[in-house]
Amino acid sequence: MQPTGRVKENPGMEPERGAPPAEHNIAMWGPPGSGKTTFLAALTIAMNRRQDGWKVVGANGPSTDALIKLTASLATQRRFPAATRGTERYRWYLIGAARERRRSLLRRRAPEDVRIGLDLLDPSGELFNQEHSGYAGAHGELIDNLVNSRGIVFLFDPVREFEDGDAFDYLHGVLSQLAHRMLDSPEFAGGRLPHYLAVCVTKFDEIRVLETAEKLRLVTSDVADPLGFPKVEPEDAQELFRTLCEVSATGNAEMVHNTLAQYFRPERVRYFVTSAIGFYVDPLIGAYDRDDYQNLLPEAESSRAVRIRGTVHPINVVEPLLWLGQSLAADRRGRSAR
Amino acid sequence: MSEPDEVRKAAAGAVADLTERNALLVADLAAEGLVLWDLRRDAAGTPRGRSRPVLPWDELLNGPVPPARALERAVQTDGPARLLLVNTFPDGPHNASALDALRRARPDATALTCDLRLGDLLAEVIADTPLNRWYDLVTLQRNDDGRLELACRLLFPTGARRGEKAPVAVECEAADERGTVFAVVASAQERRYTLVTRRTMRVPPGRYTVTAELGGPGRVRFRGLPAEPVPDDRTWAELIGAIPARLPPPVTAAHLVCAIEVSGPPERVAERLARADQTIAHAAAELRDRLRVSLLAYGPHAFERRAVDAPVEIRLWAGTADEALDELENLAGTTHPGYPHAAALECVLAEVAARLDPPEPGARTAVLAVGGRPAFPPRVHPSEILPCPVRHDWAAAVDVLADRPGTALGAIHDRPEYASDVWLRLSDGAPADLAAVDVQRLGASLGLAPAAAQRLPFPLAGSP
Repeated sequence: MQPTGRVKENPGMEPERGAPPAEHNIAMWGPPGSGKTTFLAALTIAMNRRQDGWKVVGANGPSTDALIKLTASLATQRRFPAATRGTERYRWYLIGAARERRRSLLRRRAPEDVRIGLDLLDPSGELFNQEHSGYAGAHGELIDNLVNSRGIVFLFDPVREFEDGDAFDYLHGVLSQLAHRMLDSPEFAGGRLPHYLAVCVTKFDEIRVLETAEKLRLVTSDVADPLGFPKVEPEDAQELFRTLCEVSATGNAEMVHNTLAQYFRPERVRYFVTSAIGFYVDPLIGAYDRDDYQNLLPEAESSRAVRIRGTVHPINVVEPLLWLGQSLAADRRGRSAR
Repeated sequence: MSEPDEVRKAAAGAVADLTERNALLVADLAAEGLVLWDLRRDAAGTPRGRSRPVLPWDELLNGPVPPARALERAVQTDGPARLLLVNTFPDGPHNASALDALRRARPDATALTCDLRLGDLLAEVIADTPLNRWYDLVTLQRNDDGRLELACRLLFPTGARRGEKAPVAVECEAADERGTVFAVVASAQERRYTLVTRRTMRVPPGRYTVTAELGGPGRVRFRGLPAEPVPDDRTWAELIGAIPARLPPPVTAAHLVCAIEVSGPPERVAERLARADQTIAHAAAELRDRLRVSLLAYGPHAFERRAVDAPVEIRLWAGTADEALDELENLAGTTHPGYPHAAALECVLAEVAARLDPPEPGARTAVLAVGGRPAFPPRVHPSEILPCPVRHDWAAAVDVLADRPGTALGAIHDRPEYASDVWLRLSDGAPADLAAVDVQRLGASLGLAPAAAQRLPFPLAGSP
């Protein structure tokens, strides 16, 4: 992200002096309580498990501290990060394996990391109700954040949607303002935003989500996966997303799908079925058990609070970010070539 | 002046001559006036006496009617009756003249003068009167096919007197909440029975040798029971109507397996233990040494890392009821922490199904669960309750138990309106409410006690 004047007012998102700029900027976006913080907390774990050289690094002190805290919460304490109070602003870099740069005739240039900037502006739920939809405060910051990004991770929590059904309210307000801000931009061609959008259907580890996917016969398994986790291929994820939208508590989630189609170019939207914590893996079996895969434990009889039962095996947490990074890189190369 | 014995003898003779139709009128010329006693025998041959309100001397002697006429009217009777006149206050100003006037009016009467309490004497005379009927105890007779018939056991023959005793062997089965009725009937030559007395008491089922003691006509007391029977107010028709047509085969042995959930708030656990205590105590009262009790305490599975998962504790297996009651006391204050939304009832049922010996003829087995949480499912379930770690399937275990001959299942649930499937299966869709358990009804549904329709109002005739 190239920090704008407004973003510079938010110290949590400002890279530390001397930090090299990111090649691309991605914004995390989703209704309050949709699991943005948990998603990011799972990022370090997911990258660690991939063992392919990618890592996540804080762009400044507060973001680094938050990253350590969030990762420890999920991996060690097996607890979900506490609900956001007020507004939290973080900036991280996803740093990929070094790639060789072009050799000049005179000298070989040093290899350079791939660097993707990742911004999270996480306002608490109360700040995002209808009364605060004006271009001000946390909401304004979010729009700034989205205007200045070209890659967006949009989190859709089907369980929350099934119970509360408020995703459309949130989405519609933000997209209308984003479109308004980008109206004069040459990139706003054909009435569609220029962003790449990774729609992440979260909580694949929960019964209702997995069973819906199974009923739609969208679940496959990868023989190469030592854990044998079920998965939904990217080309089938949209169908699952659409079906889950149909069971929204308010009936409005169907419009979420249509709204995304209205505002984003279809070739720039990809769907991912994700889980921040993954399925439960019995240490004795060491693999997915279709009879016992829930990875949540209730805290107490009188509470709805849950914690994590076993080890965390994030599903499709890195992939949306890499897809966005690759898409943005390809986009930039295309523009450079022109 | 006569001696009291002369009065007693005259009264005894008159009482002996009493019939249902021939009454006796006793006129007591007392200090305050004329006291009249009507005596006659009831349908059971028992002499019954009743005093009329006193007629004051002033009213008799100074009223509008001449005194002689007034006295004559006072001793008139509707039907045939002997008259016994007794001046019990010889020094009274009016008594001697009044006695003379009555003797003149009723020369057939027996007239005596003796300073005594006539009411007491009459009561003694009646009590000392020999029986003029046979007295029998009402019992039930069980035929070979289980049908029940009314029967009688002779207690006292005609001529028996106060103080005589008669031992009789009876077998008491479970009765209703008012108890077993010890009814005595009287019969004459024609063997038509008339109810003399009925007394009742809650007798624990068992064999008893009861001693009937004759206290006089119409008065029989029973000794040898745990307490003194009290009068029963049911009509004869009600008692006869309460006799079941058949008596099911007797339970030769019973095994009550009681599984108590010890998770959740301590006060809830205490309430469950109290209900289990009541149920066991009630079954023990019905079945005594024929009852064996097993006791299991269970809680939730533990899913924590490195936690020991031992949700089921067998606290007693096939022990006595007393041992079970002691063990329940030991369980007081116990609670199992762990998974908050279920308890390992599926493991309890699987354990019980595996442990029970093959059924024996005539033996009853009752499996009773007391708790509130659902069981753990055998695999991922829409309830989102985690599966049982050992994959026990409560439905399969219930099937095994339900198919076992002589086995009944039951449940006491914290809040029956929220009972999950396993509790409904255990209780035919209607778990007993923890807050208001009818242990008698529950015991009957478990086959540990006769149902209301199988309760016997009278004792069975026992072997001497």
